[in-house]
Amino acid sequence: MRISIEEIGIELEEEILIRCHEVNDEVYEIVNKLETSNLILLGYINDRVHRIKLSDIYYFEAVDGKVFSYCKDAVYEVKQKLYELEQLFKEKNCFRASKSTILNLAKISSIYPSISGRFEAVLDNGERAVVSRQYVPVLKKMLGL
Amino acid sequence: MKLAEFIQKILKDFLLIFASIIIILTVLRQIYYPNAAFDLKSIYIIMAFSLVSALIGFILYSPNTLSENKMRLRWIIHFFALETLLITLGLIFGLITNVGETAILAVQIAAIYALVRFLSWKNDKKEAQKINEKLKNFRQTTQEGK
Repeated sequence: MRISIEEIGIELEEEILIRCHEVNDEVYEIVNKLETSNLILLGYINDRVHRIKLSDIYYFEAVDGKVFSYCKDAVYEVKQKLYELEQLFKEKNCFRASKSTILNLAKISSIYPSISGRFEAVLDNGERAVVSRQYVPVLKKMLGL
Repeated sequence: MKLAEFIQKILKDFLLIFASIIIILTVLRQIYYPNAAFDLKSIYIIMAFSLVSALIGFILYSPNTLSENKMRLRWIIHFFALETLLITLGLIFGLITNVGETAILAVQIAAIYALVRFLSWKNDKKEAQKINEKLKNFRQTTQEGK
């Protein structure tokens, strides 16, 4: 597929146009990736609002009724509930890994079984997160297994 | 796992344990004691113990995500609960009569428990390997797309 980039004036809105013969899975995958990297979420640290890219988030965790998003260097509180984030990002490579966490698939470096009968995901930042057995089929489905 | 789902799982486990014991006993009786009959009391005892065996699965249930250490501790408690239960069953049926036999049964239960956990872990390892391969492909295509 040929890739063209056209510079436009500041007065025009930026856009990405895909010209294809057929809207197939590959095109959907490209669209999904573009949407994922551009998805913005509002995160709060001490009442200061930050714009966080979904692609920068490692995982979401619910702690004492609050939901936090964990990035490389900071932890932001987000105002959405975990189930809302799950719905919002389920098509964006995020999946529910346990009752209290949602992991960003793009940030998982590997998965391994633990002695306690669960799975653990090792994230790119070295953190480990539990993947409950009941959510393993969700992960497998996302990966096409 | 939600409580309702967990109760469903416990019930399924109970039926599975009960059915397995009855099937195995029937086959063994057919081979070794074809003329012996099942008495109703024995069936009820097996049924009750099957239910208790399934119920001790609650030791592993938690509404919150537990840490690895807490989960391991629960597995240990589960193991000892199962040991106690099966030894009690052995004593009730008169399968064990002295300390030596009790110790042998305890070791046998431990060996089977360890084997089941090991096989389950091996299976999970295979599963994790498949996931990791797919994950690798996924990350490659994601990085190419950037």
